[in-house]
Amino acid sequence: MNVRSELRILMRDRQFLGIVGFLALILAVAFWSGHNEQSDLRRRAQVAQSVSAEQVSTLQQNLRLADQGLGDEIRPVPTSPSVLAATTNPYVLKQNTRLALTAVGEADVRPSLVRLGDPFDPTWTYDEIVSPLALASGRFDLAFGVVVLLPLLVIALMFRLYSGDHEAGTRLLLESGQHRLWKILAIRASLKYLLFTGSLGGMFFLGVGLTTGGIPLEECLRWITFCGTYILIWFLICFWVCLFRAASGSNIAVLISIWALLVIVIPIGLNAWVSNPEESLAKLEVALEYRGVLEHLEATPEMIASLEASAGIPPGSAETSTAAALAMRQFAIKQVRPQMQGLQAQAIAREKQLQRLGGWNPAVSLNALLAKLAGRDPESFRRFERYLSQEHARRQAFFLKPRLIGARMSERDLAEIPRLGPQEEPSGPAWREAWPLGLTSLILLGIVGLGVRRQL
Amino acid sequence: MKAIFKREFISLVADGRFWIACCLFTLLVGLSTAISLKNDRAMEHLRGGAQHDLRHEWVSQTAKDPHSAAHFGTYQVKPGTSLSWFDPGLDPFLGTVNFLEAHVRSEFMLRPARDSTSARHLGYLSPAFLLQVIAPLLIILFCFGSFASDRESGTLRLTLASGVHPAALVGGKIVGGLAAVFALVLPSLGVSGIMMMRVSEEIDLARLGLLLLGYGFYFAAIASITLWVSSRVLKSQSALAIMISFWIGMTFVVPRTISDMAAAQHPLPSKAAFAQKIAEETRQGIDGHDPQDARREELLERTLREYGVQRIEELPVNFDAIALQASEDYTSELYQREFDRVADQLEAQAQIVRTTAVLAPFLAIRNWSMAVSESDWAHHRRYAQAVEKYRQELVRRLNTDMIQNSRTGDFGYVVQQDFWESIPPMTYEGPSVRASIEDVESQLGLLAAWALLGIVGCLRASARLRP
Repeated sequence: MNVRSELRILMRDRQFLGIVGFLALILAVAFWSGHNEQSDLRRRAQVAQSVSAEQVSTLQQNLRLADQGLGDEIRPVPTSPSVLAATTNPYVLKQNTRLALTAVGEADVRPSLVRLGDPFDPTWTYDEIVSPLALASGRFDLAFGVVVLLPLLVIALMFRLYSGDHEAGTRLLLESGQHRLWKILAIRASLKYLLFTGSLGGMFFLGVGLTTGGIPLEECLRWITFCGTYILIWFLICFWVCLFRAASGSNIAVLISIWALLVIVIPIGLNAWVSNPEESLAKLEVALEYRGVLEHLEATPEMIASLEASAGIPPGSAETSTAAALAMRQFAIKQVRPQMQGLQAQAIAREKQLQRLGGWNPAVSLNALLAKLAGRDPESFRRFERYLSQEHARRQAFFLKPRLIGARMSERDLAEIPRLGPQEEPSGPAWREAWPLGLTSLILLGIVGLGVRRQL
Repeated sequence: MKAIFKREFISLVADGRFWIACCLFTLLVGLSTAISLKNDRAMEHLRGGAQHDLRHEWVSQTAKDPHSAAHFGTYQVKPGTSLSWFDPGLDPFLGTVNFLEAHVRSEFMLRPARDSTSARHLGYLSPAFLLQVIAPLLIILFCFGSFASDRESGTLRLTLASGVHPAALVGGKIVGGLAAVFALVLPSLGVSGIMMMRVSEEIDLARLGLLLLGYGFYFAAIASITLWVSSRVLKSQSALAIMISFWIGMTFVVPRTISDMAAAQHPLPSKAAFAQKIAEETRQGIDGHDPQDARREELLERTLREYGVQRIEELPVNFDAIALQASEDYTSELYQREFDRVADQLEAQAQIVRTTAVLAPFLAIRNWSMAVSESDWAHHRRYAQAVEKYRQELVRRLNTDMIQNSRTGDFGYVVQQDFWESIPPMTYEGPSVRASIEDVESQLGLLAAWALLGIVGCLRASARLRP
């Protein structure tokens, strides 16, 4: 078998080496971009933590003065539960996997660093300051490099697989050899695939090692398996197209058209089909309904009694105006909860619909898998939002009683404020979630086999 | 030259693949126009409904003191523009709603990009996206072999041997190629235009004309550069490989890399630092709610002098409301300065993107198209400033009523519905066409320069044209 000679030829092929060089360049830019993004996030988190620590320290000093009875002489000291709650609201950084820098996922439109809002305001939202220009252009993350650009390198590697010999006049020479033409072509394609995927894997390990300071082996292996399957799909597509055409120009034109269709037109078409731009204004309608309920509501004794019961204080012991305001908010939020849950359900259904309609498309499928592997998929952000709501509720429960009875809080209370609970670590996708990619590659393998048989 | 033009045009147009591509592209543009127009109409309807609901909420609010109403606040929904369906530009990434209240200037919220799927990273389907990204690919696929294929098949040698002047040959191929390119994209523009006329009440011809001019230059630039490359290389596959690399570079690689670099060059402050700065500087100023504040004392002295009285109780106006308005003036100025700082950083980023359009015609047409369609950063900034002006006026009006019609310490003062009705809703007049394109005139020049570069390159290549 002429595997060795083909390998020797390939290792001396300038075009192949140039393409591997391009691969290194793409990965270098993607790791640089991912590293920048992560550094920026860490910088923002550090600033947030120091701002928060400074605020808490000032509050601590003021409370100490108040405890010593000195505060009022110098300046009024905030000792009310609402001031304490607002000042000690912590910043929460979303936990991602160690491969977070490999895919932006939902992190470009959803905040990964959030300050918990006023425990008594159920409508709080938090958004970081972001550049719309950068969002519109998109990030040059590794997921983009793999999903969009790698197939082009595969096309560049494969488009002359058969036509190259035909155009150079060496086809007959090949056919007159002791091995069948399809076998030679399959060996060439397999070698190219193995070397290309091997190079990608090696560079990926190197990039992850250099930028994260360690290699999470299991996640990296999953990443390489998913990407390797995706690259295999593109090699099979190229092999199948090139098997029937003897002109390189025609091969490129057909392959580029397939690429544009699979990687650009179908995903953005599906996005337009599944997205609902009206949802942004539907959220405003919910906010208006909440305000409307609140504006025209009168707190009833039952509402206040229920609030007192939930705070664990005897009936009638709450400050009436505070209790009425809080009870009305609680009532108003209950009124609009079904709409809010409806909007959340729509968001979940949207992503599921995209995967149902586009799961067969390797680009859509891999994009979702890589976002999940980075711990930045829509589901992980929903988990993060749930975590924030739980923490919000815990703080609310802590501050509710002193707020209702109008307690004056002291330095000692600061230490008792509940600390943030542990976040659930994103696990990344399970192997079975990659079944659409595996199935597509198997189907293509069958099609290529049939194509080869037909050619014979 | 006329014969060459005819031959080139017919050989491109007579190819069955041309018609398939033309039909598919027209279908795609038609579909995207239909989806975009449908969404645009639905959004317009919702915006109208929301504005009506907001006005109703404002005028039907319960009787309360005007400053409480300023805290109750209202929302302002960003209006759509006549061409936002064609090119949504930055709109999906900018908020659609702004909350207006006393003491605080809010950022825009509810970004439509949040309501899309993870596939948005590849772009938003719109007629502009197809014309900016997919049309150049089709142009390249049809023009790459113009010279190189003739050279490979020996037709070029025959043509030159028959006495045709190289300049006439190149001129004919340029004109024929450009005519075929326009034949490829014009049906899609026609379909899009007809669909638009069926649903739009008024059509802004000046903006449409500017869009056509920009896209005309863009297509001419891509076609002429492809022809230039085709005339310079020996093999058609090399021409295709070079042009495909150029296309990928200009549409995917350069924009992403440049925006990353621009963001690194002009970083935006973190929300925590921004909020901290506002809070710190607000503390330095008058806090209208804090009677012990030293600045408040100074204001009180000034007010007493102004009215020629000795004690606060003797004032014929509400000093609490004067202090609130003074605080509002201070924080408004502060917010203006800090928001301007962020906006200036964004403007600096946009300037880098505009400058680097010299590297990629895609960036130039994107900037031009967004500006003409009023979906760029400059337009959003202009609108945000108008909203802020309205917020300041609204709060001033509420505080002024309190100053004039109540006395200091009069916490029982309330106003009724007729007062809410007397406050007009915000009106916004979009910028003129001239103002819209003020910052991006250079982009049209760059597009023209790219087209000229390709044409001059082709003509210069004619002097060295070898079979």
